[in-house]
Amino acid sequence: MASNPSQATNKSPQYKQPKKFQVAPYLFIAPAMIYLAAVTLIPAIMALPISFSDWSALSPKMDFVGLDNYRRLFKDPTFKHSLIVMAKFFISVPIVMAVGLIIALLLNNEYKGMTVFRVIYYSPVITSTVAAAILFDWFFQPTFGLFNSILNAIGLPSIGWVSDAKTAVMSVIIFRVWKNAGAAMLIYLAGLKDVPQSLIEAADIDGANGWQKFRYITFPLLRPANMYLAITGVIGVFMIFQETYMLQGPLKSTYTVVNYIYEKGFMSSEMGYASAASFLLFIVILIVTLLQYRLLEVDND
Amino acid sequence: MRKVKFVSLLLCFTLLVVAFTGCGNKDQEGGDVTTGDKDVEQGETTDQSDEKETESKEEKEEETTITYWQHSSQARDDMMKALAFEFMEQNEDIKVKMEFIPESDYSTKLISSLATDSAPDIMQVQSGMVKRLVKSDSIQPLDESVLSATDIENEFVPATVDALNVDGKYYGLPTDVQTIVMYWNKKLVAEEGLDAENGPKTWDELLDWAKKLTKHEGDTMIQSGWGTKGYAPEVEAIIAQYGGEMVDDEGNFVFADDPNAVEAIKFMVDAYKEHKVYDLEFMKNWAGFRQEKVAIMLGHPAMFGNLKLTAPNVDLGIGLIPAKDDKHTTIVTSWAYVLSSKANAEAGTKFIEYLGSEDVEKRWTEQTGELPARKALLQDEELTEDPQLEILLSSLDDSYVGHLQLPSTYEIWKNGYERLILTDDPIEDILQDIQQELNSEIAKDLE
Repeated sequence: MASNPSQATNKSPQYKQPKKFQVAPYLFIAPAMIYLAAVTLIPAIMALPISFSDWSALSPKMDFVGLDNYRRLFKDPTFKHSLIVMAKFFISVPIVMAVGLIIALLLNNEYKGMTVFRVIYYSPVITSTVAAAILFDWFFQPTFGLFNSILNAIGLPSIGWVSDAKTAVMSVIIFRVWKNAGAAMLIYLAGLKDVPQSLIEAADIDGANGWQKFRYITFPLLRPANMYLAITGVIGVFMIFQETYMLQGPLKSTYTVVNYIYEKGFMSSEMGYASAASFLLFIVILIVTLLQYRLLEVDND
Repeated sequence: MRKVKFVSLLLCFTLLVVAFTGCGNKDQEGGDVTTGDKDVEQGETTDQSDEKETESKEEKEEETTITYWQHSSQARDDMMKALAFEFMEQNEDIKVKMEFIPESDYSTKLISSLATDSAPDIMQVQSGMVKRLVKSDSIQPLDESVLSATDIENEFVPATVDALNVDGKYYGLPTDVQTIVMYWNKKLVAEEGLDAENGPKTWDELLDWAKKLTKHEGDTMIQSGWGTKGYAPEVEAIIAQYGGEMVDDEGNFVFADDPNAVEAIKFMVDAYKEHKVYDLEFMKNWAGFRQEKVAIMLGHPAMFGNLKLTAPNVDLGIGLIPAKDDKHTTIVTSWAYVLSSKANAEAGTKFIEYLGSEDVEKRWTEQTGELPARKALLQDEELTEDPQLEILLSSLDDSYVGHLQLPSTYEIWKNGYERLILTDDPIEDILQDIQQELNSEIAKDLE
């Protein structure tokens, strides 16, 4: 067997050059790094010292209060309530993934016009959350809204949707699924393109049916896409705000941690306290993300 | 390949330059976004001779620039641009730079500017914010040499300026003054054989009408008689009429301990809970009023102009809010023009005084429909020619300042009231919870 000439030459000593500092790679990543540092990293780090102060944000004045904000946070029943409400939204992560996967499977073929459908299903992702939430607020109107009209048309009773504390979270989850399933679809479509056709053909020869091919070949090979969507989905739930701000249920039924932080920081003029809550949330997201990455690494191994 | 790499590097470099330029000093931007600048610049171009230009430069050196922010709406922005231009013509040594910010971003942007010590010289804030801003030394009192406290007390309706007075000093003048008045759909009211021209006169009558006007099909509401859900100024108004106290002399909330206040709140809660004249699961109350599915609403005078535009289908009845013992007492909420602690007090107060002058308030009322705050305008012949505007103006005759004018206190009230109408917890317990939460919130504003 002939050896690969390029491998042979690479191994030869004359190609071992001393490591030279290269500017270009750093320039390439600089815009993204500067942007991330300015809008994410530096504010996150700054939240730490602010969280030990009584800063109102109405003037630059602030006094050091030690761990008071954190002590108060752990005792505050409203903060606990916001955590519980936020936790309910984790159910939206697998639903978004499942809907995204189903759409991706339906659109993963080369029939004419498929691109149009892909654009249609992806369009909610690029729609403004606020504008879409206003529209859904109308759809959710209990008496004359679109959703209840559909339910009534098929003989089902009306639901209170966002106006009812019992169904408000479910309503926001429906909105989230509509809004985010397109993004999941796109990731799954990319994953599906990577499934080797030879494996599918081999399964066909072995007489596997459609479900078996999906269950034993396609789905296992979509594991990286699943992991990516699970991680970003979970982080998204921690940061859920716009949709719960726009589609507010009664009795704080859609009141999440970020709603709490916003209320304390911008309505109650307690930026120090809000920073403590933000920093705590930042730590939780960091831990969860690191754990998920660890799982991903184990999976790759 | 080299060419591609070069182009990529060039693009990256451009991005970096743009990013750093964006972080540059705002003062160097030339004030392109500021209407005042543009207006002044237009004025300057008319100067013809060199002599005049030299004089103009000298004047410019002595010129005081004041920056002004307000939340944006087309009608208010146009009006304010014209007013600023007129003011600058009358006060050549003062230049006004204006910035109009979308309402949804206004609060966040204003707080960010206060936090970073870059607030404008004059800003619009909700009146309830004044005490908090005074305590944080973010604003300063109006210049007494330009506008004295005595003049303000003599010339303005007390309920419109009470929230702007801290320790005997006034920190601003009111704008966007609102009371609570009553609107009804004449067609729906007439269908029930009720007096569609005059509307209900007492709270008991209002409740009676609302019950008659509320309709169900089976268990489903198909028409609401009165879209009541405890909007804070409405409840404060009925508390005042029942002789109840919202706050004590120190400013602490005491309504939950005041039997008259509790009785008034129970009346409102019972209208929803016992008499079921409205249901949150029916439809949004103002949307319902526009669609002729809600018969009676209490609301701000600003809704008058809004309804004329958005619900021309509704044959609109308008009147003072119902009375108890012949008192139609209502509640005033407003925004205010306030002066930042770093502003030139004299120049800033002059501009605020101009915005609150009789002539300007009158034009403001005529063009935007907002209520004036000056006593003299309540009887103005031209304004009261319109019978509907006359009703709106007369609502200020018997009025008190609202105590739930902070965004945070409003939220506490709203959430607490939802507990009152949607849960079976004892009303007294819920009111105590709301009171405690409100007192914790305002503790940071009190001495």
